[in-house]
Amino acid sequence: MASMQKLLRSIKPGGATIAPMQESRTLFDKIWQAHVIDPVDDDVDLLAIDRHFVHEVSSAEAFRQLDTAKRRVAEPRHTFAMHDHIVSTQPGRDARTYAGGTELVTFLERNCKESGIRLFGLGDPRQGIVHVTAAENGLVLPGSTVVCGDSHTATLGAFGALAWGIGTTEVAHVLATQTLAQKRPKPMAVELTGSLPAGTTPKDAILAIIGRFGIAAGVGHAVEYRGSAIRALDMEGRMTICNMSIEFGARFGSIAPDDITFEYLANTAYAPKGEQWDSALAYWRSLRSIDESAFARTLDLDVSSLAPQITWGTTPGDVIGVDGRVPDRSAMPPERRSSFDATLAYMGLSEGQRIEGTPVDVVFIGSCTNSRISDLRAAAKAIDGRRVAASVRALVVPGSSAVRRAAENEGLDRVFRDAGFEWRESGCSMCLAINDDIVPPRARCVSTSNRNFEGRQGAQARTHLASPVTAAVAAVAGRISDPRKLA
Amino acid sequence: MQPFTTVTGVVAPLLRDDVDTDAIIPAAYMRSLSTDPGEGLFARWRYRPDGTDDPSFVLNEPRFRGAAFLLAGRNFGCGSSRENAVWALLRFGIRSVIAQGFSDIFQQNALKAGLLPIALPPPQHERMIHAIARATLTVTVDVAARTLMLPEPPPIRFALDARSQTRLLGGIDEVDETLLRRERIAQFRVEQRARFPWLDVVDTNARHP
Repeated sequence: MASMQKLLRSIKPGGATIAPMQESRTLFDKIWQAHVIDPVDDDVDLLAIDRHFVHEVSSAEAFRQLDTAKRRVAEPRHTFAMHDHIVSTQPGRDARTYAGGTELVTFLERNCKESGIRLFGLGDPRQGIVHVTAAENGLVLPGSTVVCGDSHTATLGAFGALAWGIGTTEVAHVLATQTLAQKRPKPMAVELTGSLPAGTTPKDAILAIIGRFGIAAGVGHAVEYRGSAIRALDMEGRMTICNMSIEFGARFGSIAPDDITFEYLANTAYAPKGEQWDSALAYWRSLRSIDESAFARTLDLDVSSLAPQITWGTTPGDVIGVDGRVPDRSAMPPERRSSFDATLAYMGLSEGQRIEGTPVDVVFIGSCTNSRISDLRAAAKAIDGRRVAASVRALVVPGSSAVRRAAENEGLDRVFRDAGFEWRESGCSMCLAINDDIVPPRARCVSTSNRNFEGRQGAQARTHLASPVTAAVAAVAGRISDPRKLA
Repeated sequence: MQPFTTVTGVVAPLLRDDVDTDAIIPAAYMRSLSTDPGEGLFARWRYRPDGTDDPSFVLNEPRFRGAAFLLAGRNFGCGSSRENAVWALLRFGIRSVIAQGFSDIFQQNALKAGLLPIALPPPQHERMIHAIARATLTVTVDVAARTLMLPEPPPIRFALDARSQTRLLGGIDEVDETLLRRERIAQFRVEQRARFPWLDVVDTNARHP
């Protein structure tokens, strides 16, 4: 084929060896540069991929593409598979409990067996949401490149890695080559200062950022979260922040590693050991930005006076304080006014109304945004000794089987069960509603997940994104409530 | 993937901003390998709750059922990375989405699967809106020339990187292109492992947490 010949000619023979590390000015540059195999076009580099995660939904067609092209998985050791998206979360579940998902669950099993990929599948103690279990097991190391066919892969950028979500054709490309050609995004800083007040969580901070700067502010950019408020967070809080990078348009979100990162990793199964750990650590300590002028854009937010945040509309940028009001039509930017009425009709809300006190039908505590042990602790503490309102279905879906066991060891499951919450097995569940965990039409759900798009949690479902604490208090109050008042 | 050289067809207007991939194809249409993604395209808007076509949705209008182009607003394809959104558009017959901007993941997925994303700056986007308001609009897109031709001149030039252009024109699978560098990739791996030996996955018979 003529065009193929042209491509072949464009590849220079005997490509350069790894360039001596230039003085990269940002964390992003350092990691990107260290992974460039070859530049392939203006702003496009072929990158080495260190870790690849696959789940049963977005990988299925990729394995089929591979099969059709008669290709093999290049480095099965560096791909890890998890069952999470379509699995049932019913206690005692297996691959058949949710019959609609059996095909994809068993297809992934077969693909892993045939290609030699490790599967943390149903029944494995390491099973869980990709981004939760990858972190717990030390599969993501500072300075590494990490991809997964899931837009919330940026969660793992919290370890000082470059972690980003890819499509299925890209999944097939990574499987076949352990590389990916990517357009280089521009580095952007999000600077969080101050300290989170009582009643607020990292979820409130990231919702506030998205609300203030808009859902497309990060398009074309790789975000680095910085500042004193970030440094003060544990790894789980940092993951919550990085998780929602895509909700303001950024495919990449990361945080420079520090002692908090290293301490977390030191206790994980797949982190390097012994001398390897020491040599890794020396390199990891160099992973930070050294020149603030290198960022194409910087956004600032002081979190000191932040109220608990909640969404009122159908994009993650439609955010207000839980003590606030749905905006007035006149306050919307002109280009949003045409869709504003439709949004309010969909959500069953009126302009200018107080959000607090709005009755809720469903409360979902889970998803890769907020399903780790610290999230469950915070939610349990907020409702300990109280009862879920009679009109509310409330469910807790731990992010991994390990989180579920840890919570049970601490007795958190008892707190939730005694209150009337369902205590489920781990998976993505009601965040994307591809299994049978679905919000009924026109039901109102306070959800700790990351997307409130029309129909996301079920046809005509009305989603309000909030923190685990705000969600938990909504369950016991039966209405949207300010968690600071129940404290 | 199907080559994209020149395509002539009708433009269907979906002039909303921030059309997310859950709207383009709901998760319910991604449960089985045998589901035709085209059936799920804009399902929540295209079908009424009883499953029949909603005649008020643009792609259900007879003149747009065979549309080859979709004209959207800002930030098209935001949200989930599901490539099913691209496949749904292609299966329906849409070859190119013209918008004021795209989400990063959707844009990459589109280029890699053979759907052409054309991002236009506001003046050219406005021109499209005016043209479509007057009559059913038929345009021709020429990938080699990077032009979008309306019935009246001048044609609109659009941006498309040279590498994606070559792949679209030839219908070339990116993996084939990358595998031409097989030796270079292997060489890189050796060097990278020498420098960062701890990056290799060692199965430690890992302790379960």
